Amino acid sequence: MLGNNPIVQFENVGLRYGVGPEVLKDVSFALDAGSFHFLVGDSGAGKSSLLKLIYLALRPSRGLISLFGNDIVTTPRSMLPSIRRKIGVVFQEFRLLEHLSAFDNVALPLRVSEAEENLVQKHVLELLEWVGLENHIRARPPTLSGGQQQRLAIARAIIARPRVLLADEPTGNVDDHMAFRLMHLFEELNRLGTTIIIATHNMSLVKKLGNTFLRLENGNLKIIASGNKENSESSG
Amino acid sequence: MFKYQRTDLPLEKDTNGRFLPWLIAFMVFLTVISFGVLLALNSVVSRWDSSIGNSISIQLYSQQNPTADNTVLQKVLSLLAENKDIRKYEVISDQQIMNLVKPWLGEAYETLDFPMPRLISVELVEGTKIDATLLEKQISDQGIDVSVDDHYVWLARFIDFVKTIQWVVLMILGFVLFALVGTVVFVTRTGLEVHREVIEVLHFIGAQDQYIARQFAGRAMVMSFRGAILGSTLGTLALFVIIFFLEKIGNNFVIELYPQFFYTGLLIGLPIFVGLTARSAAQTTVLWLLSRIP
Ligand SMILES: Nc1ncnc2c1ncn2[C@@H]1O[C@H](COP(=O)(O)OP(=O)(O)OP(=O)(O)O)[C@@H](O)[C@H]1O
Ligand SMILES: [Mg+2]
Repeated sequence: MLGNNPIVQFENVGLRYGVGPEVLKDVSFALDAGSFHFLVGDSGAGKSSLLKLIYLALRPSRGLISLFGNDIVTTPRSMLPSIRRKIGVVFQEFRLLEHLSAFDNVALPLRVSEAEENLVQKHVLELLEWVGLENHIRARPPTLSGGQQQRLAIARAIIARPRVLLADEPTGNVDDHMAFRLMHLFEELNRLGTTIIIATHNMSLVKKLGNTFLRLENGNLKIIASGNKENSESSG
Repeated sequence: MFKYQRTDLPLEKDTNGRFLPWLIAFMVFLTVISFGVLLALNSVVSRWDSSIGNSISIQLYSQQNPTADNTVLQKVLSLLAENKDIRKYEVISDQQIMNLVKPWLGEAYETLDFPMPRLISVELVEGTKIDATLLEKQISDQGIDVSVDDHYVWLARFIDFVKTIQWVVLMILGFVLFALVGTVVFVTRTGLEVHREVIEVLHFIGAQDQYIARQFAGRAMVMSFRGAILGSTLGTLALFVIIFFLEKIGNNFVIELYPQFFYTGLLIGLPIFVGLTARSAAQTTVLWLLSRIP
């Protein structure tokens, strides 16, 4: 672990879409390497938007974001792929490539970074087995159930062993049993050193697992320790 | 170059680029024919230029009487011998005349039955010019039916004409290259638009612009190469057909204008050139358009 060097850091970050109102206002926080956080908030609170800022799909309207010690504003475009490869993302709407098989979808992050094909074969098959999709290797995403697609999306996000895993509602389409199985999977990854941020509505899951969590409310972010002891870090 | 590689983008299903191989086949066909014309004209001009550049020819019309004809010929030859601008002169034999005319009239010539004029080929001293009309007057003043040709007028006209055609051909080739690049750029740009979602996901996963560009470039190369193979094959076949018919009507000089390597070049070199050009056009287009994404 990197000790005191935060792996993700936001300072007074504001975000607005076009000329609309600010979706995020003065958001500041720092996540240590190896930490595990839930990101909660009502629908429309800005959870997905916050994650998009981290995986560089959006640029902040103001404020400072630094990832792995790089200020993203001054990072040249050619450096972005190497930063993004350290971040695995489970998109809220999965964003699986429909024309590719389950196998090829999961293999994508490895192929993009030019991994050797025999390693790709080995790792992808292992992981597909681990998420319970070993019987759907050749299936295309549209032929899979919502829960299967979700597990496929998770497999794709973690195949390249990212340092940070962002998961946007990763338990939205699965039953409670599967949800807990996935959470254990995330915890296991976390134990191996991956920093994890999970955006979710599912408060019962959060309470059960008892991690500290980040709550978005009216565009402001509060960091809440387990046991509901609120300590406001930023307010607008 | 023949086979598509595995791609992450569903490029094989694109409909917007379906016409590309056909368009390229047509353009390459045009190129092959143009090349053929260009080469044929080049060699015709250089042949004529070297054989009749520094010469004039004198035609004596036949009197239907060999003895009279011979007297006239001797008279003209003695006139020529006196002229110091003339380096050399030579009476062209009937056989030589036949060889000269044959390419133009073909085998049909053999069946023609008309009195051949006597031809005298005159070579001038290097760097001099003779006024053909003056020489003609000088000879006809002796009561001889003659025509003197210094070739220059009609040769110059012919060369001008050939040069015009060469420019037109070069313009066609330039246009084909321009259209090829333009079409590939257009198809690639549309493809980027169609696959924006997938490209975005690839970027989020950490794909470099080069990685995405490679897939578009590979596809553009394969499609263009296939089209070009078709176009150059058909074009070369068309050239063969043209040559075949020219030969049939007796133009036996045409065939040697196309050495073997020319066909090999067309059949293999052109498609490779087209494929590589399409590849770099697609590559450059993708890299340029992606670099504008913040
Ligand atoms: N592309 C966009 N253009 C304009 N406004 C947007 C866009 N995406 C999101 N928003 C707005 O930003 C706000 C936050 O949206 P976001 O998707 O981040 O919420 P969320 O917390 O992820 O919600 P949910 O729990 O429903 O997924 C919403 O008011 C939404 O309307
Ligand atoms: Mg969301």
